[in-house]
Amino acid sequence: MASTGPLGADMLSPIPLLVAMVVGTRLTMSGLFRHADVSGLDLLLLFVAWAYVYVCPFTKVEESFNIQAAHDLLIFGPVELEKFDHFEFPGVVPRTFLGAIATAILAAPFHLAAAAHGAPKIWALTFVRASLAFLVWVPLTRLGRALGQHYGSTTIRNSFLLICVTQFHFLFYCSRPLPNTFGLVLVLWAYTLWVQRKFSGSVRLFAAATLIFRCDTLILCAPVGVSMLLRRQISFPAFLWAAVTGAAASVALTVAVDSYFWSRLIWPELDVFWFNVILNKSADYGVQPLLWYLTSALPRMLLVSAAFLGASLLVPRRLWQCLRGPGAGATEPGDGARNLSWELVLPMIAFVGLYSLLPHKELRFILYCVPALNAASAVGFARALDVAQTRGSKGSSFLSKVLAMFIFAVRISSIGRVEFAEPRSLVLLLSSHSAFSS
Amino acid sequence: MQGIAVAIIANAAACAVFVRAASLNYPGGYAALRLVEHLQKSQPTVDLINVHVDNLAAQSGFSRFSQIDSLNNGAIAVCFFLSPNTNAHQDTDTVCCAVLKQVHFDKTEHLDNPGQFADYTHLVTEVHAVVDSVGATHE
Repeated sequence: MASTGPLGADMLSPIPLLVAMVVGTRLTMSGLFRHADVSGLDLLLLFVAWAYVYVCPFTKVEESFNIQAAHDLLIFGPVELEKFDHFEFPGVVPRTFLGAIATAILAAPFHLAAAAHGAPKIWALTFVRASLAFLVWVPLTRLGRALGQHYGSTTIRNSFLLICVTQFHFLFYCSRPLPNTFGLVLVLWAYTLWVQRKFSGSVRLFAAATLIFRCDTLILCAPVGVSMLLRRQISFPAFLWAAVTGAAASVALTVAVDSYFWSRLIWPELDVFWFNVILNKSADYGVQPLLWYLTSALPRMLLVSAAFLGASLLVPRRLWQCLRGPGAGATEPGDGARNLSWELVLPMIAFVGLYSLLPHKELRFILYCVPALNAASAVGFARALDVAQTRGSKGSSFLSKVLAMFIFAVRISSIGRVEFAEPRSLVLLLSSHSAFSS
Repeated sequence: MQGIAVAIIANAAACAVFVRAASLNYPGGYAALRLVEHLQKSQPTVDLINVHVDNLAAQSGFSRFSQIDSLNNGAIAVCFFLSPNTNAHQDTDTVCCAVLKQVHFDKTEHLDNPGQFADYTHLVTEVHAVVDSVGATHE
């Protein structure tokens, strides 16, 4: 068997990926998003996310419900419910179909075109995952744009994108059809409105992410909401009104759609909440140490960018000015606007801290904190870049030495923790009856 | 400037390590591809192809996207790609109708008794599970 590529030479060529890239770029740059202000770095993010889909096209057990639902919607359509996987192999808890519906609608034109040319069904899997990456990518670029507008600095916007594109887990997970990833789409829109200082809309989207996709998003919403209220960015009645209207609309949508697909009156996340929070069986899946997120998950997810997060939060403005040296002219990036770094990071510390109390820990549970931490890191990154530029590129500044040491430490610690697949290979035993009965 | 460049390169290098590790994590997906490829090449003589998919395979990449309903679907696709001119297409169409075979996939867990494997024509399973059960039949 010629298996040079990940899917074998004759099963899946890079052609669909290239076609999708060209069409996607075309749509993005003209037509659909003519006024959307999409930069080249924005597109790089999408292409890297799609490259991960190409290298790792399959899905794991956690993604099972959504990927089977997307398959059934694409192949059977939303009518022949009796053929659907969730009736043949019902799982422990029901999940919402809304995420699978969104990705299936996006993937449908590509699937129909490929199927009309006789492509194997496995191609549709790539289209579904690429669609999901696209759904995450759109609000991610809007968050970068909002940061650039808030600080009045393109450098900060580009720093945010550069940090995101060079971290592995965030872009890898954004094409995995996990409930967390669908929640992430709404959470990223909520972050965007948060940075744009549109607090009511932000609260509505946090409520939708919680009630439709992942009830545990409440652990994120609570600290963010408290932060907004304590900073008097939104009055309590306005907060309550936004939360209630957002919740009512979300519940109406999920109950209407999912009751149809499950053929009974159902609000899936309520069942999930009952199973996971009230009965709390999660410890059955394994227990990790209290500080696992801090010592293992976050270093792997943030990599070297953790250094810039520190620079962003801890280096005072006066020190930045000193580092730039006298007579450098102009001001450092983001000087004109209020620094949002602590405002973004404090709720994330509370979020990860609260989640650490749950004995069962998975990297995907705290995925939401990565874009917010990167938004904070971008300020430090842009200012470090500015310092390096104003001092000339001799590379001998104190800061660059400190950064190099940070890099070395973080790199060593994260590479040591790469979890390789267990060397249990599967064998495909092509047998006749005699192989077993002899 | 060098420091920042090193930071970005270090991140990217770590990404390369991570993505290599991640790509090794889907044995079930590759097993499914090989199974379909094998079925299309070998054209088994039994009427019903009954495939058992074990727990690890189902958890590590085997989804409904990997399944085929009957053998002629895949055969048409393969033939069509090999000879995209219209005459050949019509020929393969008739050939494929003649060899239509049903393919059934089963994900039943806990097949402890080796005798239960006898109902299946093909297994997608872990190495040591097979070795254990074959060993058991020989005892």
